[in-house]
Amino acid sequence: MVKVDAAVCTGCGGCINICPVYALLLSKEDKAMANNNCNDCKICVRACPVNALSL
Amino acid sequence: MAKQYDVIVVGAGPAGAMAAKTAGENGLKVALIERKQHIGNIGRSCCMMLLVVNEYYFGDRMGLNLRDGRLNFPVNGFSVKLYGGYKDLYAYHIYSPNGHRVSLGNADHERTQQNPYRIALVHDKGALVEGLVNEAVQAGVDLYSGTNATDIRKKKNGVSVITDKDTLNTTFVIAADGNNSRIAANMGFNSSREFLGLFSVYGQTFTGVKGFDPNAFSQIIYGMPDPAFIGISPLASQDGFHVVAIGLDPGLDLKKTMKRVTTKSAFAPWFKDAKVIAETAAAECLYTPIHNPYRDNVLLIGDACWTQEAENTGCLMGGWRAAHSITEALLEGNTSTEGLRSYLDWWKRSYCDSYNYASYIKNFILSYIMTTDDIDYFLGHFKKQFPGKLNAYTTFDVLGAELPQVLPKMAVERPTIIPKILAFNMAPVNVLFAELAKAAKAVLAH
Repeated sequence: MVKVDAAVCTGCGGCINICPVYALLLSKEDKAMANNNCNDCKICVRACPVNALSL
Repeated sequence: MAKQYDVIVVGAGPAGAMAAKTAGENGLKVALIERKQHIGNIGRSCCMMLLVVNEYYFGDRMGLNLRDGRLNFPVNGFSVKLYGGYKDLYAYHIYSPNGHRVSLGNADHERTQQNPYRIALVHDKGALVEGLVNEAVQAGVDLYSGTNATDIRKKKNGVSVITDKDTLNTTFVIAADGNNSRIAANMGFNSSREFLGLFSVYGQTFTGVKGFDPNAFSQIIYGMPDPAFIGISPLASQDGFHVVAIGLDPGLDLKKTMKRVTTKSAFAPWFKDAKVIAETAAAECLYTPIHNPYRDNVLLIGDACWTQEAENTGCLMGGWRAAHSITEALLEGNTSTEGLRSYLDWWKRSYCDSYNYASYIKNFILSYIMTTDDIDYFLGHFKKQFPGKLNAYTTFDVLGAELPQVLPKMAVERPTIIPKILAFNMAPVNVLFAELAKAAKAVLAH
C-alpha cells in the first residue's frame, strides 16, 4: 500500500483521480491518504510532482 | 432510506459552489459534496487566480463594482460578491531566461492614472469559493464537506451518488469535480477524448521577493534542455508572489527547476530575501474538450469537461447557467439533452466554438521546441510596448503579428530557428505533444 508523506503532500488532489482503482482519498487534514484498494501499481508515485508518495 | 435531492453537485470549486448556490436560490433541494474539509484551502496550484477584465472572455465582459465589492457579468445577467482581497493587474510581462522583458501593457504608466486600465484582477480564490459555499448553505443547500464521492449509479428516474459515508439519491448530478474528473472517466466520456499529456506543476508562495511587478502577471519561458514555464502572480491579500513551475514531461523534477530559478537564474537576486510561506502542486491529465457534457442525468461543468482549465470567470458563468438550466428541465419534466439545451447551447458557443484549446496549451510547448538560447534570441527581437491584454488564447497571436518584421533578420542570423517557429505556428497540437503524450502514457499506464 502506498505511503503518503503528509508533510510534503500539498493536498492538490491530483493523485486521487489519477489512481485507477480509487485507492486514494483526502484525509481529515486535507492530505492524500491510501486505502485497501491499493494494488501497488505506482502510478500515483510517478505522477506526484512533489514526491510525496512512495511504496 | 437514502436522502432524495433535485440536484447533487459534486465538487465545491468555483463552478460547483456557484451551481449549488444558484440551485438553492431557485428553491431546489440541493446537496453539495466536497472532499476537502477546509474549503478555503487551495492546495492545487493556480497561477491563474486571475479574472480577465476589459475584454469579452467566454462570451461575457466581466465588470467591477468596486463600490460594493462585486463582480458583474452583464451578458449572462448576474453578479457575485468579490470575497477576499484583490490586486489590480495592468500588464502581462513575458521574460526570456536572460531577463529580457516583453510587456503587454504599461504598468508604470497605469499606476499614475486616476482611472487605470486594468487587464485583470488577481483575487483570493479560496475566499471566493468559501464565500459562495456559505451563500449556498444560506440558501438551504446541504453541504457534505470532508466527503469523497466514490461512485455514481444510474437509477430508473435519476442517479445515486455513493460517498464514503452515505448514499444520496437525486434527479440530476452536476459534476464539478474538476480536472481529471472521475465522473467523466466513469461515465465513459473520456473514450472519445484525445489524451495530450500530463500537466505537472509545483508552486511556492513567497514573501520578500523584489523585482517582479506587483501589478502584473509575469512569466519566464525556459527551453531545452531544462524546459519550464514559470508563472508569477502577485498575492491578492498581502505583499508577495505565488510562483509556479509548469512542465509537460512527467520525468522533470520541478522542485529542482524551482531551485534553479530562485538561486541560479538571472532572476535569483530577486529571491535573495525571499521566504516560502506555502506550497502547492498539480498533476492534471490533458484531454481534448467534451463537446456534449450531458448523459444520463449527469451534467459536467467547469474543468471536468475542458482542457486544463476552464478558468474562474468561465466556471462562475457555467455554474450559474447549469443551475438555471436544470431548474428549467425540472419544471418542464424533461431530463433529456433537449431539456438541458439552455446550458448546452451556452457551453457550445461560449467555449467549444469560440476558444481553441490548442491555442491555450500551446503556451507550454514552446519550451520543448526551442532551446533556452533560442528563446533568449527570439524574444529579444520584441522590443515595442504592446497594448495591455491578458488572454492566454491570443498572446502568441499578438507576438505573431510582429513576425513579418523580425523573421527576415532571424532567417539570416539563425536559420535553425525558422523551422521551430513554423512548427510552433502550424503543427497540430497532437503532433507537437506526441512525444510528451507517449511519456505521460507510460507514467499513467493509459
